[in-house]
Amino acid sequence: MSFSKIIGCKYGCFLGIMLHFSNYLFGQELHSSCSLKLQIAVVDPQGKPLAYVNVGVLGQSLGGSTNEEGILMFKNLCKDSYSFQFSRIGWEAYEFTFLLTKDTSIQIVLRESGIMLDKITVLGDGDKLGKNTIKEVLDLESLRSTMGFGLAESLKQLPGVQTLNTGASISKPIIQGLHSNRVLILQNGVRQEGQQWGSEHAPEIDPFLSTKIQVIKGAGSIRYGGDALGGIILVEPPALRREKGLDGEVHLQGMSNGKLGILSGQLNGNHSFGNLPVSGRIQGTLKNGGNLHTPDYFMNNTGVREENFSWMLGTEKNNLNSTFFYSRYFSILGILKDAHIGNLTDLTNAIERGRPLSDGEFSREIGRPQQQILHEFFQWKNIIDLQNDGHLEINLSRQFNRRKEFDAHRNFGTLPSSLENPNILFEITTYRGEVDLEHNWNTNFHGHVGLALMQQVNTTDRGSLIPDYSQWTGGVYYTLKYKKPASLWEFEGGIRYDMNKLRIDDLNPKLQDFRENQFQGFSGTLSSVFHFSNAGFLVFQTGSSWRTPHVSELFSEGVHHGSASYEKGNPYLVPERAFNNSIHFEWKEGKFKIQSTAYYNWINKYIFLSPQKEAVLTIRGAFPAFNYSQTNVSIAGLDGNMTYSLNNHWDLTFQAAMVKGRNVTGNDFLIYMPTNKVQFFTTYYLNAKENATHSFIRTQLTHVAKQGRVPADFDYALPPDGYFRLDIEFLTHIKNKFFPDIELGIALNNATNTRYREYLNRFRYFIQEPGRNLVVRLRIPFGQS
Amino acid sequence: MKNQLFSTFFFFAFLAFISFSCEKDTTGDPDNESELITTVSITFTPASGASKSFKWTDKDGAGGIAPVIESIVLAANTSYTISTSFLDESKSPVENITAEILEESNDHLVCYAVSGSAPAVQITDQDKKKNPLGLAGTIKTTTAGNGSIKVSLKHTPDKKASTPCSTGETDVEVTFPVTIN
Repeated sequence: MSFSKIIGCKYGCFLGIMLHFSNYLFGQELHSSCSLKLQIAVVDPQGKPLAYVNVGVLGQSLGGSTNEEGILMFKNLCKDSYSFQFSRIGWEAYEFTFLLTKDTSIQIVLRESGIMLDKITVLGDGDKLGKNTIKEVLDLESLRSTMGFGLAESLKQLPGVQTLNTGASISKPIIQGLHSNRVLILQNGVRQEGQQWGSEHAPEIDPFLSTKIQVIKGAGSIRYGGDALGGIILVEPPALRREKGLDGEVHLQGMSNGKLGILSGQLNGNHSFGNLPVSGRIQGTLKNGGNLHTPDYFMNNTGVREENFSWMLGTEKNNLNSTFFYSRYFSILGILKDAHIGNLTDLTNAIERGRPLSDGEFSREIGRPQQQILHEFFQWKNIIDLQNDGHLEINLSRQFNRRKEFDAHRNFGTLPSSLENPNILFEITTYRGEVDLEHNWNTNFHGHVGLALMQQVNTTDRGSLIPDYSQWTGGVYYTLKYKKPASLWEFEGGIRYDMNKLRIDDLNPKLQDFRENQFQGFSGTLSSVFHFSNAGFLVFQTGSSWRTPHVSELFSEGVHHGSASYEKGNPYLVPERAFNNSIHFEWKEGKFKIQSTAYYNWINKYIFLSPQKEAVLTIRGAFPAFNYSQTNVSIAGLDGNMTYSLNNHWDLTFQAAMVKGRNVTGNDFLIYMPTNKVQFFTTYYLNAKENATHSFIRTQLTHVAKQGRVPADFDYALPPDGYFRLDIEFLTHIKNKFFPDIELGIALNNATNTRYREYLNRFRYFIQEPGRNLVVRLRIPFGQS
Repeated sequence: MKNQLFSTFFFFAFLAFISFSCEKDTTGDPDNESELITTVSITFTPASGASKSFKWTDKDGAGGIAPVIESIVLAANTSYTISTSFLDESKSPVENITAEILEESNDHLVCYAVSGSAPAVQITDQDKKKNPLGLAGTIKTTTAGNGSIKVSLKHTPDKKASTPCSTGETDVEVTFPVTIN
């Protein structure tokens, strides 16, 4: 009693969808009306199971996604007609309706879609990034609830990520104790190239353009670069629409603290011109916030403005698909005035005060000091489908980044022109070209070979912190993955060679001898996955990566006003090399779900600021001096989370992270390592949580310990005390005639208005963390989806 | 027809690649110099006799060559009027920043902290809001001895605060050794 059916390819539909379904009796007894079981198995055309396929049931509170075996079970279904929707990024979406009369097992064949908009979708079979890569994916619900706070704050939801903050508005992700140049951020598969070296330089990406953010921990994927000592963050926009028509969504958010408002929207369309299908999207975000409030006072000049815009256009013909992606990020960030200090005396005064001079007041005005950042990104991506042999991807991109920093004091000079001039102005233009060939040797071996080239010009038009420079890099890599269906083990290995040519364009005679610099080296990874049972697996990973010293580490010289220190580069620095080792564990059995990563990373010649005995005397007074130096360090850590589902309504989650960084040569701790952190989440679902449109109330209790592992005589003030913080979130879905599914989220952050300071906030000397914040957000999708 | 459309698409796409990324790097902009204060000069004028000037100079800015600091030498039991100026001597001709401080006098304050035998400085000038400014003052020496005067230029201080000199952002902070004969 089985039949199969081939759905004909419609006009505008790129690939045929084959659907088999066979009726299969789980049991012999007759079922009452609502106790039927349905097993859905999703496979690719080769019959390999397809995991993470989202399955939704139209008009019903049902849904879920397929497991590693490509299977999703529905229980307690009624004798009724169901319409299922199958979707997965990079795969043809599919919809079908059938009448369920008895326990049934069906198999769905999805085909890879032509328009694949992100690198991830072409990395291999089934599970694209593979289990060999230790990663954490931010689920869409968490992403949506936090994206109003910026990229780094969204990522903070993951157990392996913490943030390095400068005040309340600048936040950078830390992965495995490392940040800035040791963490790569990829937007739609292209490395973000800005001024990421600075600890007060936040990533220039609008989280609203993305529906998927994942973090690769450690040196897991050399495909993206051999210099990700800490990890890689992949920010991926959703795939373009493939069916004719229009759809879109609008996000509206309001926050009580800072009276911040966000309006974001996107419109997706698909239309065929003759035989040529064209898909497109336009997206934009506006953000406006004023002075933030701590439990005791306002933080003066902490407003924010953002104006972001992006578009994407793609088409497909025969075996080629081609996509253009443009994004423009622009933000103005006010910097807390009380934290802008001219010299050590000011710093001492400010630390002694420990709070702003006055209680301040609310204002939307953003005065000095401030930052203005523009990041423009343009990409042309082509993917050629080599059928069963794999894919060839060619990726060209251009990025431009302009960073203006305005000190509290304008430069002395003729008014009014000197009022408009920033004290620091960096401009960086980057061209990248990448070719990646995915090759399937046979069903068990999948390889990638690739080439990446980059040319970059960086000018410092104002301020002389770093010299002008040009840079050329080239990298080649090869990765090979072995995965035999039904085998308990999987293996993956990769090797990469990178070359970096750095030319200093500054004519300063002091830099005469260091004008031409060249670095080269190999990186590699080896990993294996062991499926110890159907419910769980272990990943063993080891790798080595290296990073060339950044121009700021080689040549910067001057007073860093934010930290009242005199920082001096060292042109004799050599590349640092990391050896990363991790074990990752995932297990899901019944009501338990656990994932955890333990790592031990060793970095040879780690570049850091080493304090000097002699202060530097300047006209602004004496500054403590720091020289860029190298040492050997070890960073070990453990992070993970565990969820216990009490029943259909209650979920309990425990999440924890700890990192220990040692300066091995100096026999001391490393500065600015994340503090031990534990979090406890309680979620109560008002309706069944499997329901795609579920409602819940979640409380999140966070405890951050006092950092005890700090280097001796290195900091201006002792680490702040540990703290507890309570956050409450409510989420529900509203349906009406015009809008089928409005998502409403209400959150109360720092619900108890706790006064606390965060060790990893560079402004902790001057100010508390923000107080209570009520967030109301709406997501309104519209159009045919 | 299909191919034509396809190549048209590529043509426009290529145009987009060139034209939409319109932000340009302003390479070669010579404006890489910011104005700085290299010199603090204090002139002491006694009621009778010639005035004397003493300088604290760091022409190459922070780091590099160490600053040149002149010692202030004053006579005992003498009243002086003092006038402080701030210069940028890295430029030619030398730029006088004092005029700009006067222009924005409400946002500036010159503070004097003394130690040892150096006598306290009385500020005699005012900003546009009738608050102390500190570019001019008086000093009255008593006995002979050694000490120091620390001169600070504060930007946006809170002049109403109980200790205005511990507020604001410090633009200048230099210490002169003082000898009173």
